Amino acid sequence: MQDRRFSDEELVAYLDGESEFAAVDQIEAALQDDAALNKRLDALRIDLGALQDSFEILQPSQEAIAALPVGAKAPVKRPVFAVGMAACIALAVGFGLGSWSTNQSPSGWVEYVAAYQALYTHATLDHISQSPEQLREELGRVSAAVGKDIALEQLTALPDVEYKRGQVLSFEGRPLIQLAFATPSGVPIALCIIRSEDVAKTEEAMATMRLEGLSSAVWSDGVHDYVLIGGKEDGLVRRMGQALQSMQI
Amino acid sequence: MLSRWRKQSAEEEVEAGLPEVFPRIWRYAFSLTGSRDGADDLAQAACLRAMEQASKFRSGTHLDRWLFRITHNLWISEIRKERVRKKGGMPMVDAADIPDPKQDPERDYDRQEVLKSVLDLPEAQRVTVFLVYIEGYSYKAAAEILDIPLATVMSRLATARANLGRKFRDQKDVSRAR
Repeated sequence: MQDRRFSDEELVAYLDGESEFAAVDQIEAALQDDAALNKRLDALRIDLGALQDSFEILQPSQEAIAALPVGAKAPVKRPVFAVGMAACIALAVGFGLGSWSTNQSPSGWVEYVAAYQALYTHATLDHISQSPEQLREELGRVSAAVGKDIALEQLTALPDVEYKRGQVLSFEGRPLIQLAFATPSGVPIALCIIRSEDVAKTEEAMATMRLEGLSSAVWSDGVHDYVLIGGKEDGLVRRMGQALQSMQI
Repeated sequence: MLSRWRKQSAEEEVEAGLPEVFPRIWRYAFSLTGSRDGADDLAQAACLRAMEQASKFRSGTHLDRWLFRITHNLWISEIRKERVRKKGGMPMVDAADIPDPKQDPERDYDRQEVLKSVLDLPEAQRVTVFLVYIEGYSYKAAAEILDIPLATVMSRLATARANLGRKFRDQKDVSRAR
């Protein structure tokens, strides 16, 4: 049985044209008169064209592609965003914007949060359904990551939105928490909280704006910085922001 | 502010290249998660991770391979673990998520069957088949993306080919096989 010299791996490498891993000349010589080897090789053949063709039917939705905050709009995105940020600075209502433009990377945590949120679609939170106990346990763990103790009732008390989940993310090695809500029509809105880096920071009043085209509210209590972002209902985000700020979440 | 961004060429390269690679990353994410929702979540998480770590990308190297590696690592290190924890095991591929036949029902039916055959493979074989046979990566590149030895790539492909060969022959002739 001459074909025993060749392992399946070698034969597959031969079929794949990976000549570095197959004794091509020897295999081809053996194939001339070795019926068993031919049979083994046939058993390993597959229709690669059909395989590649089959994956063509798997395409991301236009919504998923459009949600990418980069690329096609990249050439104009940065200047537009910069203009937006310049406007924020001009309004002098942002929090810590001075340190943003000097010490920190231009892609500060707010931009990170906005880019993250821009990737969310209506479907992102659809499948998430947790019991109050699960939500409470999760919230306790998540809020502790930024040194807070947020009660589930504070989040479920908000009108017009349903609290869905909490996650710990990270920004430049610092924990950042995201508390996600969904409107009745499924629009995701996130409250993101990070500890202020500047120990001398004081309270900053809430400012509203559009970031990545999403309704946003930002404020600081001096200890933590907050961003509420999602959807295009400026009024809803403003009301939610005011409610969250007033309950000193 | 803008001048500082211009200096970050690696980050710009990642951002500029992401949209082109995204559909491929999404298909890979589908192969890993077995559903459209799962693919959306994983592909988007991978893009975010790539943006976060863009400064680590070595300008001029293969962005696609870097993104596949990030997607794979994210799946292994976080998302798969979380799924197993929450759902008590890995989900099977949701056939309902494979698009329905449209223009050419017969051809699309064949394509769905072939696709399902691949998606039904065990994960280790499935990802290797995807990278080598769908994406066309060399054994060496696939081994680097998956962070496994070359011999493992070879043994996975040999096993996968034997499995697929059996299934394909059940479904149709192998006139185009190689």
